[in-house]
Amino acid sequence: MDLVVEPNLHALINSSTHKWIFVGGKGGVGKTTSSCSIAIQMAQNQPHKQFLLISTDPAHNLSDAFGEKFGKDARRVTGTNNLSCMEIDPSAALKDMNDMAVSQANENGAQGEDGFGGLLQGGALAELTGSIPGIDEALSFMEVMKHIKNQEKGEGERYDTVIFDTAPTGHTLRFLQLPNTLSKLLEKFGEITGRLGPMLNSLAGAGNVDISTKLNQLKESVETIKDQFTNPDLTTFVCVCISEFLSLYETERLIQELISYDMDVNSIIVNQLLFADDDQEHNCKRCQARWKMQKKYLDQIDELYEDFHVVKMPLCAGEIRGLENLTKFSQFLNKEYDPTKDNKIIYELENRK
Amino acid sequence: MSELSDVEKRRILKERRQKKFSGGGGSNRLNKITGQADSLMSTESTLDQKEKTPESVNSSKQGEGKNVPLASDKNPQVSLFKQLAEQDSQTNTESPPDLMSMFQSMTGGDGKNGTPPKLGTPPVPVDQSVLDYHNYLVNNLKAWSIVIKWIMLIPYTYMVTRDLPLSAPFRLLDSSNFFSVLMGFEIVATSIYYSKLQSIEKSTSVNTMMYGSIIAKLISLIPDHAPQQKNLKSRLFTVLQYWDVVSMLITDICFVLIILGIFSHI
Repeated sequence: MDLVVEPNLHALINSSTHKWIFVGGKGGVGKTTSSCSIAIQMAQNQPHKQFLLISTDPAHNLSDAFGEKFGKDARRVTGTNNLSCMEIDPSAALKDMNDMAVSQANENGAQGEDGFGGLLQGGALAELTGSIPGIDEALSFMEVMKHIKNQEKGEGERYDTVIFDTAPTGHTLRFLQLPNTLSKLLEKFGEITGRLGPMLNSLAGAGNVDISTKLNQLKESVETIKDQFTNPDLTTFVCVCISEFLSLYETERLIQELISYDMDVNSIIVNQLLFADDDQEHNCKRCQARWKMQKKYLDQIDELYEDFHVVKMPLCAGEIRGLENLTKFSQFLNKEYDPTKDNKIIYELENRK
Repeated sequence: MSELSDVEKRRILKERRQKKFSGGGGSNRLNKITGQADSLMSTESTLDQKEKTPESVNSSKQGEGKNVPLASDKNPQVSLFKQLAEQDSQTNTESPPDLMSMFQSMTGGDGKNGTPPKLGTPPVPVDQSVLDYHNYLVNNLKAWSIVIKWIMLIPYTYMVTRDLPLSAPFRLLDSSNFFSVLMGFEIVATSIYYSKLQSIEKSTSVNTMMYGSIIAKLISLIPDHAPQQKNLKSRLFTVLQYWDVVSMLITDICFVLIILGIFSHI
């Protein structure tokens, strides 16, 4: 049976079921531009829903992409009604946790600088934990858990879909492994607390923290996330690449890893394409040579990913920054770019003030 | 033909994708990508590895490692580092020979890479032509070693029976030294024979005793369930090896005795 796979993300942009959309790939291929574009298109095509774009990349770019500052709290994007952005700042989040721990310790009777609270004064916890490998991913994950809890309880700001602008491949894979890893870790903790529960509770101190209950709650949250991340109707991963060997290789590796995690991946965005054959006015020998090289890998992409939505995006004359340019660029995700009809737009972006 | 619904389409496409990535498809795809670019990047696929050694998410629920400490494989950071380490090690195609493999090659090897199989392991089926060639070489060696030994023993035995007055360098030919000279000669000749035999076994990867001796084959069939059975097997093989040497010695002694008798009457 010959199925035509649309070379666009129209189905995803208009999806009513997806709650988690990850956008990732190797560094420098246009992940942030693509994630912003997907978020903008979804917000425009589904105005009655709320969307949140989170950056899990420690080297955040969302603020630069939109031309306005975002922080660890979700903030509405200027010019939109239903799109918010958030940049998770590990050091700030850890400092918050540190401050909470200090106040908790002081409440529980620790005396000034002699007690546990004193140890944590000055952000000691943040300093200790801030450089642990994977801390960024762990904090992003905690943010995800917070949103799921809010949705279940009907508390706080509710978002229908969360789009993740992820870090380059390795970090993202670590993040996606967290549910499985945590689940196994919590199993072990569960076994230990089951045997040593009362003793551990007394060691936890006057706070009377019931460790077993807390762990069970955490475990349930993690299991919920695991189930959601492996449900293709709720979660999908959009790979971003460029038409070059290393990017193609990394994309294939990434897709295989994601499949091994039972994560749905059915869309690939190929950025920075020259389409030099269709641009006779602005054409040089270098562009022709580069386009020839791109075509070689593009043919391979078409062959390898014939069952994927492969969206081919043009290389624009300038940087794609600001809501206006991102909106113009993002339209080609919904309806594929036609190099003969749409090429004027890539030069219009150049003229941004 | 009715049009498929979106859900049906998605399902069919998903199945197609899964089919392409399963059953070795992952590595094939990576091979295709690297092949066309003449790249040396690794083509080992995590999907293919996962299929070979499936690690169930629920394996931790089966009570494994009850006494495993917290800072172990289940620690996410440790397991992540291990995964990275495994990925690095998989790119190595050759590792330096370890002590065990070196000992193995010295003691007889495991039948792979040109080393004959160890004594005690059931003989690996060998091509009949190779076996015939091996037997031919071994018989050839045996025949020549016997001929050469006997050619050297005949004049020595003659000299001994004649009781000639000898100057210092030739006192070895004195009849009082006969036995020690004979034993020394046998030791040297047997050592040369066995080193030649080992080089033949190495070149054909056939263990002469395992394929030549019915008794050795029967002994190799004894199962290794208990340590006593293992000890018994190794002792029986040692006895067989010693018998091989002893039989050659007995043959030569018999020959020498016959020659002595003949020369005594001449």
